Formats: sequence, structure tokens, C-alpha cells
Amino acid sequence: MSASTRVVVVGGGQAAAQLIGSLRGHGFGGQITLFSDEQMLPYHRPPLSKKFLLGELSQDKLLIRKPAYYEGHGVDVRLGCPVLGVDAAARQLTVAEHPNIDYDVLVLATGGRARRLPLVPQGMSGVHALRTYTDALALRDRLHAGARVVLIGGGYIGLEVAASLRTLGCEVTVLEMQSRVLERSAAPAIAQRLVEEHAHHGSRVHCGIGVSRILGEHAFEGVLTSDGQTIEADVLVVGIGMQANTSLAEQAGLACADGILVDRSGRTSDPSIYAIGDVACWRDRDGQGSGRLESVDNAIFSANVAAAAIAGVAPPDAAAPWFWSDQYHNKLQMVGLAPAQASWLQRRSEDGARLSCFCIEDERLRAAQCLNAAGDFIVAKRLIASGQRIDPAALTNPSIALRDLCTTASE
Amino acid sequence: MKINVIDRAGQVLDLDCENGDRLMDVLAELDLVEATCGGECSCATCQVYVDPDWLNRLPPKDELELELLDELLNTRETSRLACQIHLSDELDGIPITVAPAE
Ligand SMILES: Cc1cc2nc3c(=O)[nH]c(=O)nc-3n(C[C@H](O)[C@H](O)[C@H](O)COP(=O)(O)OP(=O)(O)OC[C@H]3O[C@@H](n4cnc5c(N)ncnc54)[C@H](O)[C@@H]3O)c2cc1C
Ligand code: FES
Repeated sequence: MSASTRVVVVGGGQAAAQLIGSLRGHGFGGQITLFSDEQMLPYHRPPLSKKFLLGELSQDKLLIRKPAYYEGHGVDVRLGCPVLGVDAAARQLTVAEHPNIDYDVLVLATGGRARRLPLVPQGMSGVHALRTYTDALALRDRLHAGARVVLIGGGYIGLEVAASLRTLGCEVTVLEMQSRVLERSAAPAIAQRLVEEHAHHGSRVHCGIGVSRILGEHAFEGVLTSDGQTIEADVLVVGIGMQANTSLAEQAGLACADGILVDRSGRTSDPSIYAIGDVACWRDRDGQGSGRLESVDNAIFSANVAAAAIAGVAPPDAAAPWFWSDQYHNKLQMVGLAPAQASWLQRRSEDGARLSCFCIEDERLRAAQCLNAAGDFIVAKRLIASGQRIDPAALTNPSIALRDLCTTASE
Repeated sequence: MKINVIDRAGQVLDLDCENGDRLMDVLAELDLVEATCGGECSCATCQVYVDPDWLNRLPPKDELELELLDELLNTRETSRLACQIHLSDELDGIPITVAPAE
């Protein structure tokens, strides 16, 4: 791509920040403009439910790159600037209070927004979601020790918020509609251990229970559950996942499914438009499955892939996707995608503190989930990448070091 | 303050930083390490080698850092995870080499 190429990025999250860093890292000398509807430079979202919510991290430590980076690398950043429309044929964007913006390459990094619960009346106070910095501040401002909180949704973000709020001294009740928490993503034994951890800290986690009514008129007062309990509370946190921001892409006529469909290099159905991060839906992620992934790892990988394609350099190698979650002092690290009804092998330390679950397919490691077993996670990543055959008996025997199973990698 | 970095390509860089910055942030800003987890000791992609003369000025490794370093490839006596190192004036000029990617 030539130095006169104009790259415009829509959305200012993790994926956008990585794309920019990666483009400049490859020596891309063209124009880069970033439009974000948020007021803050790209920041790390994961701490919002963890250290930031706990008040252990200041705002400036959330930033992915300091303001000086963007100035120093010739990146024109427009904050508080929603992009309203894309004219793919004319290669132009409509932006509020701006003349139309021309692009040569457009990158959609619009991420997602917190899914709303239709039962909750519009504008009711005391109701929160957690996706943005502003959301986190609003929730933090609302909390005080002893506040009674109901959390709807036992996903990762929900459980992390539950842990943080309990640590802050709130009374926490988690309601999960499915028969267990993390139903689609975690091995049953891991989910079970996490639930025990929450119970041990004094939170209530109810599974298989929905909400049939929200109590209160203008201010939230509690919920009526599907099994007829009334739970009085001061704060409601809705953690039922996100919805991909695909409206710009749809309006531009790009092929979309659950997200914006992209090929292995992040290209959408229009060759001058890429989509990256949470909003992108892989048609085929280079042998690593298809679909949309919501994780920092995927935001970074997809951004690197698109940046390589735009800069005209070799793409990064695909690796099994991975994810982490911190709840209280428990660290969960997972790598690889397991099928929905996978059967899991377990490796437990003698004291029970460490638990790793492994999914084997065709005698090879396909996915691993490691709770308080960070070393297992590092080795599992390597075992998945090498594609070597694995002896299940050795995998589950804690007296055999996992690293001794690696036959291909050597130091 | 400044730090003295040799990146994965072998280039020598003098990087400006501020008291209180995490070493990982300074390196990640320029894409010199992946640092996927943003410093949560989850990804172990921020391994560096610290000049041996400076090692004892750093705080000791905690259990998690030790466990991750134990399983990484390419580790040396002088290996640290850059996200666990907070820069201070005392570390002005510290020589760092970025470890190869896993
Ligand atoms: C509370 C929380 C905790 C998390 N914890 C973890 C974790 O522990 N581990 C992990 O791997 N992942 C975690 N994640 C997920 C991870 O943060 C996301 O996968 C990642 O942030 C996705 O980045 P993105 O850039 O694709 O999208 P986003 O971060 O959503 O950024 C998209 C940006 O685009 C903006 N935008 C949208 N439309 C427009 C428009 N039309 N014009 C201008 N701007 C627009 C949005 O406002 C937003 O700023 C967490 C997420 C949250 C919310
Ligand atoms: S940044 Fe992930 S472990 Fe250091």
C-alpha cells in the first residue's frame, strides 16, 4: 500500500488500537484516522469488571496507548465522533458534524453493546450494565458496603462483577437462567469449582431461574423470579452478553450473520472494508473454527491479520484462541474451542487447589481450561499448537509433569 | 527517564518512560511484546531478559510469575515478565532484551 493510502478505523476499542499499532509497526506510512463514539482513547476493558471496579486501577492505567503515541505516530484520533453511515460504492463515511470522509481502506472495529433485558423499564434508576468505562464508573458510584445487588447472567463478566462487588462488601445474588453457570463455555467441573468459590465468599448463585418481573417504578427495588421468589435489592446488574454493532455494515450492504462476515485476512464482502474484533464473524479462522469470538486475544489476532493484509506483509500464524477470567484470587485460563458437549479429562493437584480440564479429539489436545494452574495453560497451548498425539492417562496423572509430554518443542 | 531495549529483531532502542510506568506498557505501546492480557499475568507473552547487574534492584517474583516463567521456553536466569516490573527513577537506564516469541 502506498503512502497516500487513507485508512479509516471506525470504533476505538482494543482491536482498533492494535490495528493502528500493528500498521505503524509494519512501517505503514499512509494516513490513519480513527473515529470513536466514546470520549476516551482506546482502553483495556477486562479490568472494568475486575481491578478497576475494585478501585485498584486508575483511569490512565486503563489506556492501551498513551496520548503521545497517537500524536507521535501521525494518527488522527476523533473521540466522541460516531460514524453514522458508510457509502461503500463512493468509499465515503458520514460522520456527525463533519463533511463526508473519504477512505481507501475502511476498518470496522465497532465491537458490541451490552444486551438489554426487555423486562426492565426504560430509564429506571439503579439498573446497570458493564461494557464501557462510563458504565463502570456509574456502577462504582452506585455501590456502597451492604448494597444489595442482583446480577442477571452467570457468564464471565457477570461472575467477575459478582466477585468484585462481594469483595467491596455488597450482598450479591446471581440469577442464571441456564441449568449451570458458564454453560456454553466452561467444563462442568470448572464451573462447579467457581460456583463453590462464590458461595464460599457468601454470594448466592441460583441456576435454572429466570426473572419474571422487575420491581419498582422509577427506581429499581428488586425482582420476582420465575419460581416465585421476591428478592429485594438496591442495584440490578444485567450481564446477559453483548450484541455486535453491525448496523453500519448492514446499511453498507456487507454480508453479515451474527457479526460482519470476514475471510481469513479480515476482509468483508467488500474488498476495501475489513472488520476486526468482537464484531467480526470469521467464515473460517485458518483451521481454528468459524464464528464470532469475544476476547482480547481475538481482538489482537484479528487486528494483526488485517494490518498485515493492509500493509502487504505476511500474516501472523493462526493459533488456538484463548481467554482468561479472574474471580477473587482464582485465575481461569482457557485455550482452544471445545465442542458444546465435549467430554473433559481432569487433572487435579493433590490439595485440589489446581484443576485443569482437557478436551481430546483424535488423540490430540483440542482445548484446555486451567483453574489456578497457569503453568498447565502455558504447556497446553504448546501441546495444542504442536498437534502431537497425547496419552490421556499421562495427561490426568498429576505426578507426571505436563511439560514432559511435549515431544516436539525443545528448549 | 529512559530504558535501553534490544528488541526481537536485535535493534537497540532508547525508550522514554515515566516513573510508575509498567515496563510491559512501554514495550507493548511499540508492539515489541504482545502483552495480550494487559498485565494480568495471564498470557506470559511479555518475557524479557534483564541485565544481570540490575536484577537485584527489581522486586522478587511472585508465585504466579514464577510458575509462568517455569513453563516458558527460552527462559534464562535473568528472565522476568515485563508486566510485573514497575519503572522508577532507580531503574533509569536499565538494559532489557525482549525474549523471542514462544
Ligand atoms: C467488563 C469486561 C470484561 C472483560 N474481560 C475480559 C477478559 O478477562 N479476557 C478477555 O479476553 N476478554 C475480556 N473482555 C472482552 C474484551 O474486552 C473484548 O473482546 C474486546 O474489548 C473487544 O474489542 P473490540 O475493539 O472488538 O470492541 P470494543 O472494545 O467493543 O470497541 C468498539 C468501540 O467502537 C465504538 N463504536 C461502535 N460503533 C461506532 C460508530 N458507529 N462510530 C464510532 N465508534 C463506534 C464503541 O463505542 C467502542 O468504543 C471483557 C469485556 C468486558 C466488557
Ligand atoms: S502482559 Fe500478560 S503476562 Fe505480562
